[in-house]
Amino acid sequence: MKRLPHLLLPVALGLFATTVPWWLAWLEQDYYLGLATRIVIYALAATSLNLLIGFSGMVGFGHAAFFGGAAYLSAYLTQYGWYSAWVAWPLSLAFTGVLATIIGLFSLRTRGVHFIMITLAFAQMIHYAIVAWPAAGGDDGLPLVQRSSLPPLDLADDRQLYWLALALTGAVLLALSYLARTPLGHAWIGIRENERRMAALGFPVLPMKLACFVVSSLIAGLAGILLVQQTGMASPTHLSWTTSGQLLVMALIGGAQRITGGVKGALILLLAEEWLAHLSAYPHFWIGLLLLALAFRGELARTILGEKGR
Amino acid sequence: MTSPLLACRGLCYRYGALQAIADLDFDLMAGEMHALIGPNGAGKTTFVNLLSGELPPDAGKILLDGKDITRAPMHERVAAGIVRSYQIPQLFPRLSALENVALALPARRRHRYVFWRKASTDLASLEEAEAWLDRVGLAEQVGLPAAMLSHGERRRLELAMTLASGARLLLLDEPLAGLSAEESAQMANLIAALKEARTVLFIEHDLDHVFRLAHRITVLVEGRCLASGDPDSIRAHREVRRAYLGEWA
Repeated sequence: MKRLPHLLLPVALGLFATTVPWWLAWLEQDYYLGLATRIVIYALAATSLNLLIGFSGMVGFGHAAFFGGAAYLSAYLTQYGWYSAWVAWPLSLAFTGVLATIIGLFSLRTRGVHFIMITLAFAQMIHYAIVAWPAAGGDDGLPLVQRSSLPPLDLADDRQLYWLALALTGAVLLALSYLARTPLGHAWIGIRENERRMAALGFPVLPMKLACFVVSSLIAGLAGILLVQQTGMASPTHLSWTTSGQLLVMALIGGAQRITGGVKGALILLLAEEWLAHLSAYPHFWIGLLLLALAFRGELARTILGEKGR
Repeated sequence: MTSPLLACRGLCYRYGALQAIADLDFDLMAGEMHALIGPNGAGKTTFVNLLSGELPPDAGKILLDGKDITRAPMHERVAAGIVRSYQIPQLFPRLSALENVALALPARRRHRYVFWRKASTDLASLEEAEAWLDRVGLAEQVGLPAAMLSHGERRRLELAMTLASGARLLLLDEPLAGLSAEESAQMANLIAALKEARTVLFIEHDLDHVFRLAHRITVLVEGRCLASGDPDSIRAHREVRRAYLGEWA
């Protein structure tokens, strides 16, 4: 019986999220379905950082490389007629995985602020390499020729794309909350809590951190692929360090060490952006204030002041 | 004469200009309780770091059962049976005492990539972890986060982890440091209970405990072995008395 209220909120939220397209249609606000899809996709991307920070204690500041990298490749493949999601998406994810393994092998040798800087540096390299590459459309980005075909779904239908994104995000959240209770999850949490002790207990810390980094990058890559489906193009913004920062802020304000932190953060940040853009000519000023308020209230302060230093 | 469990030959380690370990030869017999003493800065902790694999030696060899482990990474040494503890207990502060010990079990090392099964379904491991906690007198604290334990309890929790790891050779870095007289006695009894069953190398400053616990004592001064032998011969050793025991004897 004790678990019932515990489950009530996620189930209610899940039901509400599933029915959002119908609510919007009823309110004749279908325009907002795009925003809802983006929130779900950014929630997935931010969740990838909750995995990285929450489980292994690594604060990655370069997830735009995986988010944007997978976005670009999946858009690029449509230019050559690779419309099948069953082919193009795994290919894009495989590329993201290889990229994450290479970046991880270098950056995981560092910790703390050095890790933040080196992941940022790699992401910037990827950013400039892709923008400089003529086939990637430079500053204009790379348009998606058409949305992927994923039978039996029809992704050209905005609602079906929303539901797909929601289902994948939900599946990742469920998988992560299960993972936290498995031996692998415990080992990752042990590394977050005391890396030195884990090594002294005989765990090969570097490969285990690499595994966490790659899984996290794959989740970010999946979010990038979904975003391209929604926006219809891969843009340099997706690769920019501001995207890495935005994802990090989402993961932190929602609670870095909670699995649902990214969902909360994406909701707060994207809704606030949308709302403040209507109210003020300077929405980012108010978002800054909002973040400050959140920072001094709770988790962000604890995460930055208390735990990141170790 | 049987061959030693652990042998070091010509071991050297240097921090910048400081020669912390200088051409050290050292043998450890299986089942032995061996104390490492020496003044501050003698290189005792550095030596343990070299043995556990946290530092790579500049020169020399480390052999375990005659097998060269000089360059083996830490996790391979743990698998081979060398596990250490720290001067300041290294624990998982927010995990329960039980989970701290469970993470140390060899089963957890083997199943470290298992993501399809909950850790709580491995009841045998949880029971084993609980038994180790009971053995060090922490049966009551099973569910408490390590951060909530007293200093003495943390020391005993770390000992339980070291024992649970299945180590043949325990490297204990000042296991009695910072403990009250009563806690020290309790910890010394726990260590004494390991005699014969496991091989122990421990660093300790309190010579009463050293002479009571150890089969053999090695005195380290400036990274060199000043003397090594049974408690009586160390007590009688003139240079040791002068260099180390002088103010105490």
